[in-house]
Order: sequence, then structure tokens, then C-alpha cells
Amino acid sequence: MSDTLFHNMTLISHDPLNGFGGVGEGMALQVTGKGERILWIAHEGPPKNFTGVDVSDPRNPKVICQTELPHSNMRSNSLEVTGDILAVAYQVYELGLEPAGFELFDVSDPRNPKSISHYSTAGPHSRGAHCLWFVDGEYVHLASGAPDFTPRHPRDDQIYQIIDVRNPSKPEEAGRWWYPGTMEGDDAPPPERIIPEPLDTLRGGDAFRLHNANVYPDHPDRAYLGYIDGGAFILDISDKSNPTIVSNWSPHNPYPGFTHTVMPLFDRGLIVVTDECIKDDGADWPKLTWVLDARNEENLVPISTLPLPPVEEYTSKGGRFGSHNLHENRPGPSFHSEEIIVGAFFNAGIRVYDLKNPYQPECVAYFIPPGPENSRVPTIQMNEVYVDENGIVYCGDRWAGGLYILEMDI
Amino acid sequence: MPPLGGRHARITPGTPGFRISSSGWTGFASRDLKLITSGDRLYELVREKLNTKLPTFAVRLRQFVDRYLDNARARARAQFDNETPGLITPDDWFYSAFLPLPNARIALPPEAFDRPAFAELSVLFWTGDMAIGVQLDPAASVIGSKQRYLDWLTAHWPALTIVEVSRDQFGATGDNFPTGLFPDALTNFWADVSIPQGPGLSRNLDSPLAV
Repeated sequence: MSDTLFHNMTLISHDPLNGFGGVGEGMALQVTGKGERILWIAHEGPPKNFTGVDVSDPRNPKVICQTELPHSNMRSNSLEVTGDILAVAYQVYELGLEPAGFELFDVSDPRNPKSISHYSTAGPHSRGAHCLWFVDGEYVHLASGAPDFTPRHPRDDQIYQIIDVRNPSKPEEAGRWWYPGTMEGDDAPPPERIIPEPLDTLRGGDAFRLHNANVYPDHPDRAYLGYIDGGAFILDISDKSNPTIVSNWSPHNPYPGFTHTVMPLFDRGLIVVTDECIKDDGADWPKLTWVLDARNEENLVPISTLPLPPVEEYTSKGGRFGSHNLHENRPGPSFHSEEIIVGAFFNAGIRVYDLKNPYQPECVAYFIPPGPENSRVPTIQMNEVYVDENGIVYCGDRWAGGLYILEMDI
Repeated sequence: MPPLGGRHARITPGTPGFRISSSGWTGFASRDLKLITSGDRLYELVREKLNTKLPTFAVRLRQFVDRYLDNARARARAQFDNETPGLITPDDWFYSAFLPLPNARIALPPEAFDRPAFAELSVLFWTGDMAIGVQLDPAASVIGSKQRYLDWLTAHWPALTIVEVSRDQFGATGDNFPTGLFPDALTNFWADVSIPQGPGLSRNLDSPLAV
């Protein structure tokens, strides 16, 4: 492990995923009827769609399934599994292309996923689905364009949609919500841009669109949304056909935008919010992970941020440096803690925080491997993380490094 | 060091049970006692004092402690409501309930792990014979070091019984308290009390006070 920086974490195995090591922001663990443990991974970009890795022995992972995208002008990037149903997001790189939306697969035989249905969100102003959340077997919570949604600003094209999949062969929309003022015809005025960007690409920042929507089965009336430059929202979804705002918190302006994940810690009255770093070399620093006092959910108060290594050092190493995905305490075969927070921080690797005192979070473990071969940048770019119920940490490099499996010693 | 203080408890063989009426933990000041204008107000004051022992960000623990107190008061009323009215009322027996020690950090001896180490329990009760530890949400993941410390404690303290209270048994809403999970020694707290006493006065009380 030369050139690896680590503290209280050990690499127990690594798999380059057959040379297609670009890991998106979808990792989910299935325990099959036969007791096999399959880690499903969505790829960050084409040509691969998703990969299934048998991690029944985490020291000896084996790729058992790797699927292709229909064409190269799209990606999956996001997936979730509940029971034996795998939901995979499809996002296209140009408006109007297909397939866009999500597909449900029966993975009861993980070596042979079978398509159950495809839910299309293709449309003239839609790039399809960027991210989805599916943990209760009943609803897919989707960040996606829609055929009947026309944004006022072309980058505000992903809205919150709740899709009923209790009959997985016939998904149906149950409700939707968007940032007021972002749809053509809204009474509310369009939001003021935080840091305007040229419109030569629809990707990236300068967007009031949804990234993550998290809904937990033991609190089904609340959705926790990361709405990029719109900040963090808590919605009341007790009536899924009519979500309403409970509260909104945004540090943007002066902070540079891109709220990504909003993760509640219900038993403690806290929320952890990440802002995604989307540019190399610190060009959009600071991209922080915030800890909010949420004891009064109508008045969210920031009380700390997770400490990161020196910005002067890490923004000169190459690649992105800053916050992105967290292990989100999802139901299922998953680590669940409201004190230990595990996150992926690009070239700062995987970092583990003790939030026992939320006013002073402490980094208690980290793992930063060297930059992988064939990456577009010289450093590791840890993009996604999942921790299982045994405390084994699965994480992936955004561009080329594949899957890393770690153990914590904390 | 006295057996019971505002932020500590010391248990040795022979230490009497820690009850709400035990002295040393409340830290009542003179001005607190001036606010006691009724039995209900005293009960609320005890709840407030106990809540000051809880971490700020402990929603579920706070619910557990509140419901434990409410349940103890209700059980006292149910047990003594039919007694002939006199100097002692059913509400007086509430203060004989065992004192919850929330967010308990139990110091392990230095030889256990060659460094300072604390086993953690959501709540600890000491009845005089039995230590009852409460684990709220046992399904939550525990990191390796914490599990080792707790395992050491359970292996070396035979007086300790741990009660696990799952989310199903203690919902986020409502007012239920899972009495059936706890030993009778805890829930029938009046059993070896002949005359109930009120919550202890602070040693630092600096002036006599007629309540």
C-alpha cells in the first residue's frame, strides 16, 4: 500500500471491475434468497450500465454480472436494490434522447437480471433521471426531468418525482414537486442564480434542480432533498400527490452551491448536508459537509462542518477535493449509526467522522489510496460509499479505479 | 466522592439503590424550592432537572426518560390510589422510583484495556442489588471498540442486566412505555420502601426554607 495514506482503516480487497472502473453514485447491497451478498454498482459513464459483484467474501470479490448501456450518449450513475428488485436510473446527455428515466430489474438470479419495466421520463426538455432512492419496495424517489415539465432555465430540469412501484410492472407517478419559480408558468419568480455559468453545457452547477431525495420508511411523511443551488429542503409528503415545504436551508451565496445529500439523524435531531465538489483543483472550494441542528425541523441551524485536510495541499494534488456522497443509513443490510458518519471526499478519500459531539465532529479514520491507472486525473477520486451491517466499507473511484473494500478499526 | 452527584454515580457493594428521592443529583437551589407550589410543580421540576443531564441532541433518549417518569408516576397512583387518604399521597410514592442515569459512561478498570475506556449504555439504573442497563435501538450499528468495552463490562459485572428496547417496542410517537421488558425490581419500586421521601435537597442549600 505504498503512497496510501490511512488511519484506522485497512484495504481488504480491490476489484477493477473488468477494467471498467468508473463508479457512479449508486451502490447497494442485496442479500439473495440463497444468502449470497451482491453489491450492485452503477457506472459513472458509458459503455457499462451496472455491475454486480459477489462480496459474500469481501476479501475475495467476484464480478458476476456486467451489463451494457443501449448507447453511449447516456449513463446510469444511480441505482438502488430492495429485496430482489433493482432500480437503475437512466440519464441522457442530450435533451429528448431515450431511454431516459429508470428501469426495474428482477435480480433474484443476480447473474441474469431480468427487466420488469421501464418508466420513461424522456421529453423535449428532459435529460432523464440523474439519481434515485428506492429503499421501501414501494416508491422510487426520483430526480429527473419529465415530458411535461418545461423549466424556465435549461439547467433546472430535474425535479422531485414520487413513483409508485408497488406493482413493479406498472410504475405510476404518485406526486411531484419542484423549486417554486423554476417551471414555465409558475407564479413565483425565477430564483436568482448563485454563480451564473455559460449555457454551453447543461451539466454542472448554476442549477436549481434536485440531486438526492431521501425518504426513510420509519418516517414516511418526510422527504429530505438536496436541491443543488436551492439548498436543503424538508418536504411533508404525507399526501404524496401534494408535497409541501416544511423548511429550507441554504448556505449558497456566499457558498458556491450544489447541495447534494440531506441525511437526517432522527434520534438525535440532527441533519448532515453535503455540497458536492464538481470542479478540479479547488476551483469551486469550499465544498463542505454541514451538520445542522434539526430539533425544530422548521428552523434548521448549522452548528458545524466536518473537518477536512488542508485545502492548500489537497487542491494542488489534482482532481476534485471536497464533499460528495455519504453512507446514508439506508434500510437493509446496512450500517446504521447516528454518531459515525462515513463519506467519500474525492482526492481526500474515504473519511470517517465521530459526531458524538456534533459541535466538534472528529475525523477518526481515513483511507486515501494512490491515483489509479488510466484515470483522467492523478489522484483517487472516491465518488461513492456504502457500509454494510458488519462495518465493511465499499467505495469506488469516479474514473477508473473500480471497487475498494475497506475495514474500519475504530 | 459521594455515591451520587449531578454528573456521576459511584457503585460499590452495599451502595443503596439510586432513587429519584436520593440526595446529591438534583442540585436544587433555594430559588428552585420557592417555585414548588404544588405536587405537580415538584414533579415538573424533577423532570426539568433530569433533562439537564441529557445530551442536547438525544431526542429518543429524552423521550425514553420522559415516558419512564410518566409511567412511574402512573404506576404509583394506580398502586396507592385506594389507600386511606392521609399525610402520604399516591404521588409521593413516585419519588421512590429508581433514578435513570442517562447516557451512562461506565469507567472500566485500567487493566481491562491498558488505556482509559468506558462502556456505554443509553440508561443505567441501580436498585441496590441489580444494575439494569438499557440499550435503546439495539439494531443500531456499534463500532468495534464500543462493542468490546460493553462485552467486557457484561462479562465482569454479574449484577448487570441489559434490557434492549427496539424501535418497535418504543415508538417515536405516543406515550407508551415498555414496562413488560423490565424486571419487577425496577417497575415495582415501592416494594421495599416503608415511607416515601421527596427529592433530596442540595447540600449547598444556604438558607433554611419553609416550603
